Order: sequence, then structure tokens, then C-alpha cells
Amino acid sequence: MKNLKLKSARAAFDMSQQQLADEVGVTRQTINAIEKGDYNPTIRLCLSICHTLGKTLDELFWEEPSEKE
Amino acid sequence: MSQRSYYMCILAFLSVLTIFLIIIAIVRIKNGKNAEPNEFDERQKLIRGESFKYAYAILILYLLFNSVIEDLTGKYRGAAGILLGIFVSLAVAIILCIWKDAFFNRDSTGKSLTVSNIFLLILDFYWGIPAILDPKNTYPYSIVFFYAGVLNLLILAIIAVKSFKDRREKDVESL
Repeated sequence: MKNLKLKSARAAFDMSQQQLADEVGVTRQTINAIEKGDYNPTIRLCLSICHTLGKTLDELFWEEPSEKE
Repeated sequence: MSQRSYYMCILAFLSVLTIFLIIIAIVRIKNGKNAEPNEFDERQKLIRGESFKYAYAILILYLLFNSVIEDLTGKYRGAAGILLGIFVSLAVAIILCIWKDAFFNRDSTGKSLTVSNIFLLILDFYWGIPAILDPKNTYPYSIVFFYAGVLNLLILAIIAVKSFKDRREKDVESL
């Protein structure tokens, strides 16, 4: 399941994947994998991303049960 | 060079390499928390673990097949056959890691790996191709060099394809 909320939050900050990756201490490919839905980050990384983008966990990573299916 | 001195040279090289690796390990353990932190992120660590798991499984399978085939044909390659299996499984781990972006850490560009691989490729083919072409060659390790060269070539090809793919991804992402 693609994470479009993360992508739009990042775009709202005018941040590239590389910039966000540098801020949170991961590779660009990891951010790409999270946005594409290919990787589920740990809670630590989720929090790090949320703090960088000034959003809550719900705003970036919450999925409704119907979305998950 | 006699066959005995050939094997003694290989043994000496492996001993020096092992001692070198042990020294590095001791230094890193001694430095403890001051040691350079692991630069691989969580996703990369997961993928590396998976890659090594598959490589280990392939090594076990290879050794099983190798022993059966050697018994059936009566041609025993000894340590050279095992070495080839190690090269194959290492290549599998490396290729999987490169393809899934888990081989290079954040600070690495992969240039040093590419350069060292090209150097190894030249050495492998320099030692390996004459062994393939000379039917009287009795040193089994020489042929292993040829196969190692082929695997090196495959790794270089994967690095090239991946770099091209990454560059395109970056360009698309920046649009």
C-alpha cells in the first residue's frame, strides 16, 4: 500500500527523498521504499520522520482497515 | 613452481589474510562504542540478513550437489570445488544486496568496490583463462579463478544496471 500521505507531507516541506533521508539517517532508497509501500518502517523511524515533517504518526502512517485490504 | 610450493603460497596468503582480519576484529571490539557506527539503515540490515540466509542455503545445496556429482563422476576437485561454492554463494549475497540497495551505506558511492572488482576481474581472467585453454593444467584453483572472474563480471553488470536505474529514479523523483 503506497504511502501517499508521506509523499505529500514531504512535498509540502519542499523536501526531496534524499533530503528527508539525510535528516532521518537512512538511505534515499529506504524513503522511496516506504513511499511505495514496499517497506514497513520501525516505530523509531516513523517517529523520526514525523518529527522532521512536523506531523503525527496518525497523519502519516495510519491506515484504515479497508485501506489495508 | 612445484605443486607443493603453489599450495604453500596459497596457504601463506590465506594465513596472512586471516591474521589481518583477526587484528581488525580485535581493534574494533577494543574500541567498543567509539568504533565507527554501522552506517546501514534498518531496511538495509534486514535485507542483508535475508541475502546471507539465501547465500548460506545455496552454499549448502551446492556442497550437496557437488559431493554427489563428484562421487558419480569419480572426479574429485577437493578444496577447489568447495571454493567455487563459496564464490557462488558470496556472489548471490552480493548481487541480492546490490539489487535491493543494501550493499552500499549512505556514505559510500560504490566507486571503490567497482575499481577493486575490475582489478580482481583482470587478475581472475589472467590466471583463469590460460587454465581453461590448457588441457594439461593440473592446478584446480586456476579454473576456479576463471569462474570467479565470471561472477565478478556479473556483479559489475548488476552495479552498472543498478546505478542507471537509481539515476533514473532520482530524475523522476525530482520532477
